[in-house]
Amino acid sequence: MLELTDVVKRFGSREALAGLTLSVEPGEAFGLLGPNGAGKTTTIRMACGLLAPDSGRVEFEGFGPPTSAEVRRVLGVAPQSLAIYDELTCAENLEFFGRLFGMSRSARRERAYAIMERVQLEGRARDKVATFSGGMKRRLNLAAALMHEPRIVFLDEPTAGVDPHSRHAILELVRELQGEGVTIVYTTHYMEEAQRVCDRVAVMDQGCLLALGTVDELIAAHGGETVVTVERGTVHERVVTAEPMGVLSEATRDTSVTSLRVERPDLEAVFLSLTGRSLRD
Amino acid sequence: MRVPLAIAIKDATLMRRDMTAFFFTVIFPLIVGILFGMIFAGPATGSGPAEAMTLGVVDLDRSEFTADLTSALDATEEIEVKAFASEAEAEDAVRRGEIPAAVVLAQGMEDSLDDVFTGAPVKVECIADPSRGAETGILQGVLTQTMFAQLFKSIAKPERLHTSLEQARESLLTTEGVNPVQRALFDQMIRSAEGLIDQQIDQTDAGTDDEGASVGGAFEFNPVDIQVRKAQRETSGAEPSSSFEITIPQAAGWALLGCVTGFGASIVRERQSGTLDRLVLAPVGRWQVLAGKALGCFLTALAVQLLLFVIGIAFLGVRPDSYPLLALAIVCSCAGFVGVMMVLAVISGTSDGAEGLTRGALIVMAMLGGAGIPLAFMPGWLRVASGASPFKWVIVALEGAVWRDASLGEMLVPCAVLLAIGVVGVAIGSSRMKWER
Repeated sequence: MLELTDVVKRFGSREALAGLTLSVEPGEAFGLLGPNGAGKTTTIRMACGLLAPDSGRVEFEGFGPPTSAEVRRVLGVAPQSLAIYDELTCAENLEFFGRLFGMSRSARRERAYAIMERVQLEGRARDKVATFSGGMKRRLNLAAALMHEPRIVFLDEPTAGVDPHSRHAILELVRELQGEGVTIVYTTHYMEEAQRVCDRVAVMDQGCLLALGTVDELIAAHGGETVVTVERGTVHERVVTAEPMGVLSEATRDTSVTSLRVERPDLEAVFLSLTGRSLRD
Repeated sequence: MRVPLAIAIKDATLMRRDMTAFFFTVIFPLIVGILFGMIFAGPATGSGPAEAMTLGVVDLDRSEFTADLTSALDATEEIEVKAFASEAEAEDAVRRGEIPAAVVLAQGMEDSLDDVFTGAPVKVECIADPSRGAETGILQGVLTQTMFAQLFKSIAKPERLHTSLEQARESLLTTEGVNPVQRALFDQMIRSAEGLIDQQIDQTDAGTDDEGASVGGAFEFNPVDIQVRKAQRETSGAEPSSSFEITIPQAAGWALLGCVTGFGASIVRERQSGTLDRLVLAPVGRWQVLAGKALGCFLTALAVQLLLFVIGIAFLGVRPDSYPLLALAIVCSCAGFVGVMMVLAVISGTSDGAEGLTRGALIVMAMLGGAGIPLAFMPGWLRVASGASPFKWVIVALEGAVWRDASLGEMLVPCAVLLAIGVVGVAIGSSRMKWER
């Protein structure tokens, strides 16, 4: 669906992307995971054609380069900043963006209300966006990207700074989109989100792709082994193992075991293993 | 003291880094200071006739007195005389804004000097441009001063003095209802006046500067009657029917400045907030985005202009000479300022900065265009430079259509200039537009 080949982007002397190569398959939820400054947003901006690469190639299979009108019609982008008009109402915002995509008045109206319902803003359709909370604005920002029913959606940190309710609503919507076969490119620095939402994850740092694969593959390759803690009264035993099921099965047969705790490695451990730093540093 | 100092340093740093605050605190006062300085430096340094205001003179009397008066006016620092063959020609020049005022020296003016002591002042008709009150006021003052001087020079000639006093005495003798005592007293007064005039003539010859004023005060009568009237319309022959015919075009100019400020900043604001990205990501050309921005500014400016003129026409007595020409002027004004908006929108990186810079640039533009200080008070080169201010051309175009009776041919110049500003501005703005954040 989307291919980036040896893409390089520099801002002055700083190299934001250093020869990035990756491909996103149709219908998958592809995660770009990395700390701030890793190059996630630059990757998205180049994939949508908002930035031109200094070298390398960005191509949408079957559609052409990202700047072509064909790509634009199937592309939806929810940028990290809230790209909506505060002085327009919720419905006016959505209808305006629908109009840019040549939707008819009735189609715009129908779609706007449908999408507002999906992001749980139907009750605020006629309210000015300026009166919305941060979470509501974030949901509207996402709704605006979906107005024209795109086949590939770029979500750049869609849950940044939102309340748990909005976060849940956004993640549910992403899951629904996945179910509808929409290709999703999702950037985040929250590993739980990447683990929950993404089929495959690209771990990035300082403009470089460090690892790419499914969450399980990444953990298996870079996360290290599982730690099983066996408690017998006041005695704690830590077992580091690649076969936690074997340890667990043995422990359950031991009647002196009072408690068992399994610590599986996660993407945080993957990132730590790849960079020597925590994801949130 | 350490905390207040830290806060003060922080605030000063913030101010220095805030483009808008920095512009209005440092750059704008500098521009205003330099510009005003240059404006007022012109006449003060006596840079001569280049700064003199042009006064039209129609000499219908063609006498020695009117020739002397014309020469004396031309010799003043403030006035440069431009001769016109007829009153209509001079009035046309005033109406078209070529000169701020014209005086008509009527036939028989020299002869009327003989009657000044019988209470019949010398009458002079002055045709003034109603939109240039300040310049007209100054011209009127210089005209009065010069006329007084010339008048007393003229009546001081022995033969004219003799004739005038004789006529006054004859008038006294033939006037009925004056008792002998009064007649004797008036006769005595005329003789005293004769003596006083002789004395004044001596002073004038000695070269005093304030002869007109002092003599006028001593006699307590006004031998000069300058009748000022506004230039009349060619079509209806009426003066501007309402002062709003002058102020509404000015207001329209300021409304355009307001529109430009708002729209110029909105482009930058869209870039900052990311909504410009959404516009760019839609399957539309970038030219369509720019065209939308330009159209928005144009239509808003048009709506405001129409509102102003509808209010002016409906409630304030504004009666445009030509509605089609007014429509042309409005459309061209809006188009010109769309170009200005596009240029100003690409200068700054932040919306606050854009708003500040736009506002400052437009105020300077308006000042240069004659909105704050009449063009006549500017040095010659600055008057030439004012041609670069779209504000000036908006006023010329709108006034031309409203009350200056401009023909289509005369309207072409301001309208073409405004359209050119619009086209060049849009071209510069489009090519220099920053699409990326």
